[in-house]
Amino acid sequence: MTVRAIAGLAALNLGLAVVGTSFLWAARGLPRWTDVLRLSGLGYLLGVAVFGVIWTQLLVVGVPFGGWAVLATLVAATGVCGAVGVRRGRSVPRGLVGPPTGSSLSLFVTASGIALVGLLLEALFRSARLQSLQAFDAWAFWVPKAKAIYFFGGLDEQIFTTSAGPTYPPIVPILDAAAFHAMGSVDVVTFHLQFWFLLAGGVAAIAGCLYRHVPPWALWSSLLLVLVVPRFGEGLLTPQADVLVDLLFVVGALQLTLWLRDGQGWRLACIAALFAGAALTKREGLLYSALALGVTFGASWPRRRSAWPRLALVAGIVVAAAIPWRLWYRAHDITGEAPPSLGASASLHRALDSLRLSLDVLFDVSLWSVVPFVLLLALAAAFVWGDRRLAGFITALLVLLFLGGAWVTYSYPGLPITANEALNPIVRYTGALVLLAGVSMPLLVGSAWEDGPEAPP
Amino acid sequence: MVAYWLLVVLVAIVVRYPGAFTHANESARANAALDVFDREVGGGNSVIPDQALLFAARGSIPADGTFTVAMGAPQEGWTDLTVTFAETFLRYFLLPRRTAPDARWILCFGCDRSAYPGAAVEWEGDDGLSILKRVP
Amino acid sequence: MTAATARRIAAAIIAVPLLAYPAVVAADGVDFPSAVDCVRKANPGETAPLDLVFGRRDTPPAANELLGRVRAVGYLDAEVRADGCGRWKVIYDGITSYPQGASSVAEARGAGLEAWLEIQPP
Repeated sequence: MTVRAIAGLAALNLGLAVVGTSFLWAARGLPRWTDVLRLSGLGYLLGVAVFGVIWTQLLVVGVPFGGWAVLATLVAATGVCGAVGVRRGRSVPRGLVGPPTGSSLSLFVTASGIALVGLLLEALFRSARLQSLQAFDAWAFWVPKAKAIYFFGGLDEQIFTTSAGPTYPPIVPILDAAAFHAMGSVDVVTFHLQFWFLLAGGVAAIAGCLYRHVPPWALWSSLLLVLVVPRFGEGLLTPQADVLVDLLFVVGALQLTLWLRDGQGWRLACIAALFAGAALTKREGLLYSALALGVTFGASWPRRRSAWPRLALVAGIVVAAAIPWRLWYRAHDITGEAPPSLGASASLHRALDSLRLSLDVLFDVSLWSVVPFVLLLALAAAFVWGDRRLAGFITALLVLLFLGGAWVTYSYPGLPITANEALNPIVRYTGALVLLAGVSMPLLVGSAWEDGPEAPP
Repeated sequence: MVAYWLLVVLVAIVVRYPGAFTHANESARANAALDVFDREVGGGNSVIPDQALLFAARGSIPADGTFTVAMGAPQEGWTDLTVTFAETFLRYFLLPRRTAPDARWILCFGCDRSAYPGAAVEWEGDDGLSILKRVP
Repeated sequence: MTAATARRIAAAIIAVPLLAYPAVVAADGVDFPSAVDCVRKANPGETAPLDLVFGRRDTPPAANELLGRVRAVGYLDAEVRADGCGRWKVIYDGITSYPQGASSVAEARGAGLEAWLEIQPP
């Protein structure tokens, strides 16, 4: 039972990685197999996003979902990306070993980081493999929606309109339904491994994207710290949408940061796919993406003539991907995605309480350990000794995200001012901030290390 | 300052990593030790007073059948979550079976059976739980 | 230290713990739940409540077909139940003791049916 289920899940996720890696190959080329390996995590997340976005549109127009349809989508998406890559003259990867980069010490630090992260992921795999479905939101609506897609082949009206969270976008139920097909049954125990694959892929994506841009000690220490904060750990495997939306957004924001630095156009293709995926994973994915793109418009002011049309295209793709789902539930008389009056009618007192709540949650050591504190240190170091534009961009993004979370509490009058997760989503929302902090810190301290008083000779 | 940042981060990792690793292993052990039925029911063990209802319902109601949940007054053996969330859990657990107000199958939680005249008792458990089947 | 040596050491730093940990854990036994987990055959002298099981099938219609044959032999109170592992079993749950059950097994086999005793699920 579970051996076959695990093998099926592994095959599905390999298929997603192949789709995303071929997307990357078409967008930027992958000269060496080491590049393929290094960017395999990014490729995997891109595959998840592209698959989810495609199937959201297909389900909205009524295309039946099934095992063969999933396989056909994976093959077709890979084929299209392959055709684009050939047309763009991309060469097949060759060679296993690239030019030597860094010292032996750097190599050992990287190896130690991979070993420690890998051990933790192995332990989480063991935990997820036989995990029962406990989380309320998971059995109240996420998994019923997945079962409905699996059993009835689409966005079943009864389940999708009467379950809690009817405006919640469908990428996670789509992924879960694909997982059920891959496993050969609705195995609600083994399917927790699908979330392990998402976590492992996300970690690999972050490491792979940052590897060439930051010192290894900065990368692996930040990554490990974020993985072991109290609120994450096994919470990262809960079969809900929070982790996936955070990963898609944060890796997209990381690509935005790197694009501002090096201007490489292929990153914008990845950003469009990742943010479109985030917008169709949870409602706040659209908010996160809008904030990140907004800050990027501001940060690219000096080269707005070339940058703004491209960013506008990315924004247009994200919006275009997000609209059909919204049209679907509006057509089924479901409303409520946005707060009443966009929060304009609430009081100043509530605004201050919401800000205070967000601040308390962010700096709660029992949730996030020292991450927010070391983030402030990293920002300070970058402002004083490092890349001030980078520090400014990250600060602006974090501040807007923080205010976005406070705005969510402020603008929904029914949300009590509490960190109780059953009553207010602020803790889950703050997870995106903390993950973004973990991804940004290597860039910040790396820039201070390169340019600052402690810079290596 | 960068050195200080690294020191704080490393100390935090040294403090947190062993606990996170150990906790994941303990969860793995606890999950492996679960009874297969407990593992399949999961969070439902905190909602449905008797697992046997779930498996009896799965066995009795055909995959394309419909059911309704009839809730009476709370009884001994029920949890605080039973009255509010039993139907939500059953909708998830019994899919592809759907809920319908005029369904042939009634999952009775201490319900008033006189409201279903002629319905046969297909299964009866403890704590006021039963499965009724309306005769067409 | 040459680059090749450094690479080998780095590979060992990665490979040794990542291979040793699963090996250590696997020494305790690795549980892969399967449909067999829901088959709890009763041993002689079992005192827990028992069912007389006539077979398992993968789908309710297949189980109902078996149920028809079992009832035709005379087990009118036999029924189909989900076994908790994705299959459907045909059972008779009127067994009150192991000796009675053993006798029922012999009787059922004499009538051309497969039958065995299992411990009732919770």
